Amino acid sequence: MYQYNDNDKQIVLDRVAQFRDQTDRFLSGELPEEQFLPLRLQNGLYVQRLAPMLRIAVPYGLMNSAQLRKLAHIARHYDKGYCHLTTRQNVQFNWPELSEVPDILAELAQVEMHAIQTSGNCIRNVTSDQFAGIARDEIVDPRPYCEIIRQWSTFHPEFAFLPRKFKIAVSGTEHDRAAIHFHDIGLQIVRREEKVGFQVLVGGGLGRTPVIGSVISEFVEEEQILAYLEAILRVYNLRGRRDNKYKARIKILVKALGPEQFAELVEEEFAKSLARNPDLLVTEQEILRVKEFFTDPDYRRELSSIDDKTLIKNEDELGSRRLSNWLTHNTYPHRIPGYRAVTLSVKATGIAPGDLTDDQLEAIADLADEYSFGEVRVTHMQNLVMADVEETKLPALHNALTKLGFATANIGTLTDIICCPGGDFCSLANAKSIPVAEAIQQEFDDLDYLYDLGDLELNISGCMNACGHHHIGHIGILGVDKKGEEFYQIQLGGSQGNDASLAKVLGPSFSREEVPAVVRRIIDTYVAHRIEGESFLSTYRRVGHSKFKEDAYAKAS
Amino acid sequence: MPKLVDTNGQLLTDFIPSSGLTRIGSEQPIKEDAIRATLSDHPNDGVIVTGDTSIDVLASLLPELKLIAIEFPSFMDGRGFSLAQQISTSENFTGELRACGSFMLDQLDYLKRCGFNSFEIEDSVSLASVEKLLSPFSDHYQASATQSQPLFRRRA
Repeated sequence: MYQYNDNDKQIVLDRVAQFRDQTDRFLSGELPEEQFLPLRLQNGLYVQRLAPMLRIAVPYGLMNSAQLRKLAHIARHYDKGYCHLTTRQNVQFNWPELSEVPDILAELAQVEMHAIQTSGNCIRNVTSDQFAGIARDEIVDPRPYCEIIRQWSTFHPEFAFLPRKFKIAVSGTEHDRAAIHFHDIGLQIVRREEKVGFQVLVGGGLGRTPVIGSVISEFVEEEQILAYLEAILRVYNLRGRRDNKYKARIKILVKALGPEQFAELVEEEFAKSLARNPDLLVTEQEILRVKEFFTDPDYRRELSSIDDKTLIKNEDELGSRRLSNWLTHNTYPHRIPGYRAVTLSVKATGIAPGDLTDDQLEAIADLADEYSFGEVRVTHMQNLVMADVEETKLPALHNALTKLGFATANIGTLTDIICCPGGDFCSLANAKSIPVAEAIQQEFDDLDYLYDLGDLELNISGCMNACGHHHIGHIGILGVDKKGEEFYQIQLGGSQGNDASLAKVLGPSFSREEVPAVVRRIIDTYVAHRIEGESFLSTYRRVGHSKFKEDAYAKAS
Repeated sequence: MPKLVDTNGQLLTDFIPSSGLTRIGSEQPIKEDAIRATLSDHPNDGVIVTGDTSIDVLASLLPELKLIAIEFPSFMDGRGFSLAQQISTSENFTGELRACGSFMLDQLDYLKRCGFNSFEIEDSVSLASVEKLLSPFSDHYQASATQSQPLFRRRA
């Protein structure tokens, strides 16, 4: 992974000093609250329902074991002993003291971490595919480009007070796992003969007005990417709406102008800005320098692939079934023979999805050192991945993860729920989301049944800001407020991948108690109508929304 | 009376406060002739604009202007940063680019790097705090008005 040199280190240390000074001036009354607000937000610090919430940047989801141990230390000493994985591959602490935040940042700086631009109306953490660098369908490793974009966006003087927040995702594979259709900018790496470049999408997003992004360029050469991004941001910064925060995202501007006219404005600005400043072109030398940080770890090249049957042969009946389920659902093919990626399920029933304790963080750090070259990745599904595990060691790792509670073999199933912190923590939420996730996990506790249902994504947001990505779940659940009471609207048919689609609202909302049974009825409709081997999403698209609606409400009355 | 400081936090004296400058509205077409007439009577005067003014509106006037003040209606309105970037990187403008209005002191570093070279601040603000807030970072990743090359072109 990327390692800081003296320049990078100094910039982060300067930031710690700057934020300490800002916090001191705020606490002493010198800096007015309305001025401190955007400053603390640009450092990931929200004031939440119960305490401040601090969001730490995990660039494109990549962390090493030293960083995990530091997060454990922070959870233990500055928080209540746990942290939370977010849908943008970051980590959040829910209980820090404002006065201690500068100390937390100083601790993070020791392991090359920070909270820069994890919130606020600025360019946020760049996200990517959790299987970057190891996926078999990868065209080009996206991580070096993510890092180049991260550095360009860090304290960019022009784009810290945009009309609204701004999120960029990069995919380097044919099969999109970074949800590039639902970001302010989505970049798809493409190859044209010898050249590497990007297909550029703009104006995607969730929130109140969910939109699928539009392609505005089929090919921007790698050297030109920063100049092109700068042109997009400048057009948005100058023309994006500022009169209404709900109309301020770039998606509204792109819709208002139309993608064609938006693209023309960007091309014009791009040409002008390159003419004025050719130094914006990323040098080949810089691309090579950053790529050097993402070369292969010390793989054993003599290994060959091992099938699941061979891996489970030493287990007893129960053990082999458990291991086999886990291998099927929680491991992922690797481009190097003899290796697989392993997803740690942070979705055990009874635990808030994506929550990790200090002890667990340390245990995972030890396992990462032992099994996966000391690195882990945060996924936007709120799980963790160890990307480089030797297949011969999978049974031992499975054992270790079982003891820690991370071996629930439910990855990609209905209970691998994406869920925002919701009304338990968040002051924006209309309703709680964690108890809903738990109730659904309890309703569907039979793994064999879950496997029979196949790929199913269920996403829960506690309000229309959509941190839980409810619009792109096959089943989406949205918390709504009805005369001061918490209700839940159900949506069906969303998809985050290459066949991106937005979910459609089923009908009137349900009480929290009703939700698990309604999900059960939706699943029953699928099971009754599916053709052999057909996924939930395919059945839904074939059978149609009205059938699901009819069943969900008919039996409810 | 506000005070005016340069990019090093040094006090600039003998200046016309932004409230006395000729205002150019953001709407087109602007009354170019009228502005030219005003400026020819007072050659050292400048104009004041807000961030929603298009660079195209100003383009024909740029070579003649000695001062452009960009007024921030609120510190959350970042349009002035992009407009300043466009003006300051234009070959046709070599004058004073002044930030005024409701920006905050914690934005001085960003303002300076976008090409502002003077800052109109309230008289009560101490020069020591301005100097500190002008340069909180020893280095930056981007090229800017204060650094001709991005860090990636300067790394050893």
